[in-house]
Amino acid sequence: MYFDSWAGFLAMEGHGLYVWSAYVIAMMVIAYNLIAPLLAKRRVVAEVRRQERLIRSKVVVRDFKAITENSLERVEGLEPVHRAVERGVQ
Amino acid sequence: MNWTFFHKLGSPKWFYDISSKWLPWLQVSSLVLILVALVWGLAFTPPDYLQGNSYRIIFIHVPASFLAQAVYLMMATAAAVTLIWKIKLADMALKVMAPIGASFCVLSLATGAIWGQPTWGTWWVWDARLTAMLILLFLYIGIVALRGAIQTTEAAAKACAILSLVGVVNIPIIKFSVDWWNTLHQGATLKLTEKPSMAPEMLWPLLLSIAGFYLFFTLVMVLRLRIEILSRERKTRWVKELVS
Repeated sequence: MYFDSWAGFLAMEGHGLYVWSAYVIAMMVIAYNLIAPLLAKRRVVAEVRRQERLIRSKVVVRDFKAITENSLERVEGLEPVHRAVERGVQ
Repeated sequence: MNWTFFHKLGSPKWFYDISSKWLPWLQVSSLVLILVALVWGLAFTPPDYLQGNSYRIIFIHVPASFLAQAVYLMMATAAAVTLIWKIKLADMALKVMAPIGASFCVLSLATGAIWGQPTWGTWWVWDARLTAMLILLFLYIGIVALRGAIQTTEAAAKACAILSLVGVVNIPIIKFSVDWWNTLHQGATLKLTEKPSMAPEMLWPLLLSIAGFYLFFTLVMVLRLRIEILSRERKTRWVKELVS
């Protein structure tokens, strides 16, 4: 070890502020590069799951439409239920 | 020689599978090397006879500057592959490398400014090396912004590849700026053709730090590339099965 004490190590003979701020910035850049992929992964996984849910719910709407298509639309003044559901989904 | 690996390299799924085996090695080796190099450089090397202790910034400044330039060269290579062979994985690599390169470029400029204050008496000067490095940062930011501004993936890939290739002219300017314009920034400490102008007790931690930073770059680049693969292949069965 080159320095004799912790205080000397921190002070760096007057250059402490320069040296330590440079090392702190380096740690911040390293931390950014490690955290950014973690956040991105969470975002992508959520997006893939949302897309899966959407496709599944569309299948449900289509089935529902097929059942109600002929019966409900003949009733006057009533919005077909499947159209209301579609609006809610998309 | 068996060339099938070369074709497999273009397959995002193959890369996703194989790279999971690299991650633990990259994590351990990069973090251990950086830790050893920085503790060695901070506490165990003697001070410089001229600059005192401020020179200890070199153990961050030089690896960050090397990487900022090397990452740009890798991006230009990926850009050429994207334009010539239209390999999707090359464009994904180009995309994920840009913010990493920009972060190392910021680190290089920031540590350089901090080092400049006690050494030259100024934070910033429009010296050729410093200016060329600032242009490199603007190129990185430009490539990231261009990608964000274009909606379709294919058009964005082409535009970013062309911009990366055009900007590569800046790299030799950075490299030779200290020889062409003899201003404030000192000449190269490490040269491939000559003996380094540095005492071995300072040289070893610097070389370890450079190796550690390169490994760290490989680690975070692979991490980001794997996520980009998941994002672009999200309509495929294997990604859906992996995620759910």
